[in-house]
Amino acid sequence: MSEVIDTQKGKYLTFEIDGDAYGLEIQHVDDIIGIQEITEVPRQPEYVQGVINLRGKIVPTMDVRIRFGKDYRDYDDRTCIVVLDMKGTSVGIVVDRVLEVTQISEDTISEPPGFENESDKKFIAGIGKYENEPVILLDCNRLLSQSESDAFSTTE
Amino acid sequence: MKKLLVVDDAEFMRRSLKLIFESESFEVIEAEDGYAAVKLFKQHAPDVVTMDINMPGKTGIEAIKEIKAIDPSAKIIVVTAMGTEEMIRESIQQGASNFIIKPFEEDQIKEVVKKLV
Amino acid sequence: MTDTPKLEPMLEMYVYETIQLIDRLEQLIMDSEVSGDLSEGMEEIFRIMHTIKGNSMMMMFEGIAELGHVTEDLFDYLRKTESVQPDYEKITDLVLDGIDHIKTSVHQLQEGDDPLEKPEGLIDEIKEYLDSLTFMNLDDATIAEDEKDESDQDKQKYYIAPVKGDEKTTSKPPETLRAYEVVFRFSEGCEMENIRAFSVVHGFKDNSVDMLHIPKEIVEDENAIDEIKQNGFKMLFRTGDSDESVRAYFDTVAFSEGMSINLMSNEDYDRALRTYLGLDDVSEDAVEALEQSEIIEPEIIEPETIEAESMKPDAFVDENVQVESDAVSTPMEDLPSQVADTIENEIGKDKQGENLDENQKIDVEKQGIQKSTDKKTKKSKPEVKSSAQNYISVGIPKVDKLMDLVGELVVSESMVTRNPDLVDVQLENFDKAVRQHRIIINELQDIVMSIRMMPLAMTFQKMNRLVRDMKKKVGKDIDFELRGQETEVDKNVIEQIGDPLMHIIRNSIDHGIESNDLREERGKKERAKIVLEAKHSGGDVWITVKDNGQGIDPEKILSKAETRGLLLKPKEEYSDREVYNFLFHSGFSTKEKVTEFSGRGVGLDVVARNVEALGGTIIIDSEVGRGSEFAIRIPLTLAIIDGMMMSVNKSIFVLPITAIKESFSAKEHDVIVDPEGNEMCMIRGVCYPILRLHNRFEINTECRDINDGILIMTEYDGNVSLLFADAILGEQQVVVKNLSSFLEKVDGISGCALLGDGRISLILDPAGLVNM
Repeated sequence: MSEVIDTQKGKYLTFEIDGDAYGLEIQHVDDIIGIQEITEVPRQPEYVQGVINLRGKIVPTMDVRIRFGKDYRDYDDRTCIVVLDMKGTSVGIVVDRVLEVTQISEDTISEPPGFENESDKKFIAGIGKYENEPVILLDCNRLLSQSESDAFSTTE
Repeated sequence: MKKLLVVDDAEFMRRSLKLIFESESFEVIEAEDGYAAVKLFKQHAPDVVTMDINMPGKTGIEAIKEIKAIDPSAKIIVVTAMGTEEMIRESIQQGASNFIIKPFEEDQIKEVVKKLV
Repeated sequence: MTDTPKLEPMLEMYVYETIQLIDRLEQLIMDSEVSGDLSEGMEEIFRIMHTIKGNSMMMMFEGIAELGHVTEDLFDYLRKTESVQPDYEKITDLVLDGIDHIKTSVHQLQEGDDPLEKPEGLIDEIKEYLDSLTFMNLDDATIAEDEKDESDQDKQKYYIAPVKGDEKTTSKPPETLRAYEVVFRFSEGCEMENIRAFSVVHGFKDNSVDMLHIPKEIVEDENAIDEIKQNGFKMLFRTGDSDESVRAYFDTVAFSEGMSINLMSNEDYDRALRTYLGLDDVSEDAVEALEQSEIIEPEIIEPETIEAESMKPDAFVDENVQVESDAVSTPMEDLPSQVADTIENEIGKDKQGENLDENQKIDVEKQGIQKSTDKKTKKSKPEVKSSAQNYISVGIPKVDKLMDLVGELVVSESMVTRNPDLVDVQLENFDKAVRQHRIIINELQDIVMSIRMMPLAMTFQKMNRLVRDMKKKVGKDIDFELRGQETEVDKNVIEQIGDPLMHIIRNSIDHGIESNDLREERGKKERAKIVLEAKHSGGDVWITVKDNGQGIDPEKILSKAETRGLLLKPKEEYSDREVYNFLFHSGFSTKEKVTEFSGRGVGLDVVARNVEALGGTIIIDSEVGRGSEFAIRIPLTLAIIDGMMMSVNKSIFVLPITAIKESFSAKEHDVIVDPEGNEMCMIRGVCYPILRLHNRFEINTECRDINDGILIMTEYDGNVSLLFADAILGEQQVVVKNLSSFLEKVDGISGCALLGDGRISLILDPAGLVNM
């Protein structure tokens, strides 16, 4: 369960995928667990790996690398599942490793630059700075939207 | 703690009175008909009883009679809707101490009950 | 009342109880219309209206209260007057209109709004009807009245206020008696001051030797009320009680004001007594003689008084009834002003807007809803209450929690009995204990499951009402038959199925059933009929609406689909069923005109969606000229099912046992492949299609040779498929959980289940697997 924090605004959970640092607003993070067995569910989009049993609750998991169009990578002992909750829907995302919960002030956040890969751009809310390193801040909403078409909708 | 026995076949009425009197530190017992009224009266010996006299089966008046037979000093307040003067009169004849007419205000019922305990 | 928080629960209770009462009332009134006999339900109807009236008055809902009042009066009259021949249809219409008004008001209350405005028109109509009834019976009534008047003219005597000498007081010598003069008023707005005075008098009569009061006539005389209001009430009496107890008694008089209690000298008292009796010249002895006689209540003295009644106590019991029916003509105009008097506080005027849904109550133990076609003696509701059956209301979240826990209990039981530690260990006593444990858990499970299950009866009754109203409006003669009302479904289904059913029935009445003339023209001799039926079958509930109307014309639909470019293949290749499915497309309609009831037929797509949301499906069947049938299938969402586990590579599937006929290895039977590559198997002379699960679900498995795996003969709705899986793992009871809404729906998978070891298995939906 997420820690009780006075104000969750401006606090992000940072994690690493493919060497890059990413961040998600902490208010949407419900849980962080170590990688566990994922049960396949047939006929789902490629980035949906299946479901896990989280203390009796069935939570679908998504591999963000594949969502971002990257290659699949084997899981190791540092791979984690970050369980997000948006408006009652729980989804877990598999990440290479979790970094930490940190404050990223608004003034350090800048607009995302143009990316070659359209899909990346849609999920990104902005680029923040933490300890002088860029952190790609993700848009939880877009991430959790169900269909491919949603992800690529051009309403900005 | 004072005990109040509420007799009424409408659940709504029983609950309303219960709410009112529990907040006045009464222990409230509910009865939904005349039979239960007499039975619960014997069981709990309440300090005062409110009795709806428009109930089917054993009517309120019969219940009043029986309760008074068990305990002549029983304090019974008759609860009734308008237009039943004869019934009120008879219930008083049977030993009811007072009556109150629906719709009543919370203050009114409280006054009537409290005066009798 | 000024405590707002306290009213939320009261409003909620009021709404809850009123809804119960109204539903019951509707059932009663419609039954009586059908049976043509009001007598059975009359008493209960009267009682229900009385309760609604009382409750509504408490909540200050004038409109409903008065509606209840006039209806109560009507039924009071009906139940007491034998000679009356009521017009059933009219009464039913009036009551139903009243029910509608109350329903709508209650609905508004639920939304946090005020109830509807007082339905003046309807109230007047009911009053008028009652007047017309009484008028017809007037002759009998007037005779009775005249008789009464005569008998009472004789009894114009004075009596002193009741003194039934209590032994204590009468045996006391007069000197130890004290005389008192007590004067007081009643507070504003306390009503019925005369009776209140009477109760004060009556309450003390046993404690006093004699007593007189002014005004003299308090019970019979309504003028007394005004007198007391103006001049107060005065009591003079003699008593042997202590001063303390006298004062204590008068202290209990509620609503009294300006209470003054004064001792009188005995002489003053005697004088007053004489004047009172008009016996100034009479000796004391005479007075005493009077005192000792059996004295009863004063009777009327004023000739103007209309009501005349004997005052003997035992006369009360019967007279009551008579008097009440006279009271029917009690001025109703008084009612609003009385209610108005007590409206000083803003009870119920706050917008509560509480969320009833969350705290909705369901009654544990079925409410004993009487079958409408059942003509057994219907006990009025209160009688049922005083019998052994008791009901309690339980909040739904609690019930859900209970169900979840029972589900977990089943799983944990599995975890104990199928524990890897126990494999291969022979434990006889343990096994026995486990079996017993199992039995108990199963029973627990059944009962808990049944808590949320409710009969469809109420929903069906609503349809009854709908048909009745609609057929009148469109002017068609239609018989409506209900079957299987007692069929139970989950509460959730009851709530959601109403709208789709209404829509389908509306369609049927509006478009399906021909007008009376048209039917005659077409030579359809039998009456138009709609049958609404519910039944359990194979783990599902089937709810069907069948009519013998004109059916659905596939040609028309196809042409329409064509013009809209919806056809994917040549017309001829469409099966009838596929054609009917076009009706579920949004915006599809073959109707030229829109009617008030069914719109453009656009509703069917919404119907389909609603049904799907319940996990169900809807099928249409029809024959032109003969009729149509809409069948809704709803899976019983039993949270726990008996399933057969099977594996395909690492995936585990669970198939409900109810769908399995048998299983075997393909080796034992002939496998045939047709020119298109479809595999089939011949079993006892019949060919069944093979469905390879690994193909359907795109799972990589090493077991591809038909002879290596296992075939499971699965049946659904008359269709059979042979499912091909790697292996069968055994039977298990599993808790059904929905797959997240985040995932895409997969045809053939209805959910998932947690196995005893924590793994997740997917639950197969036979319907999606046999209909390909």
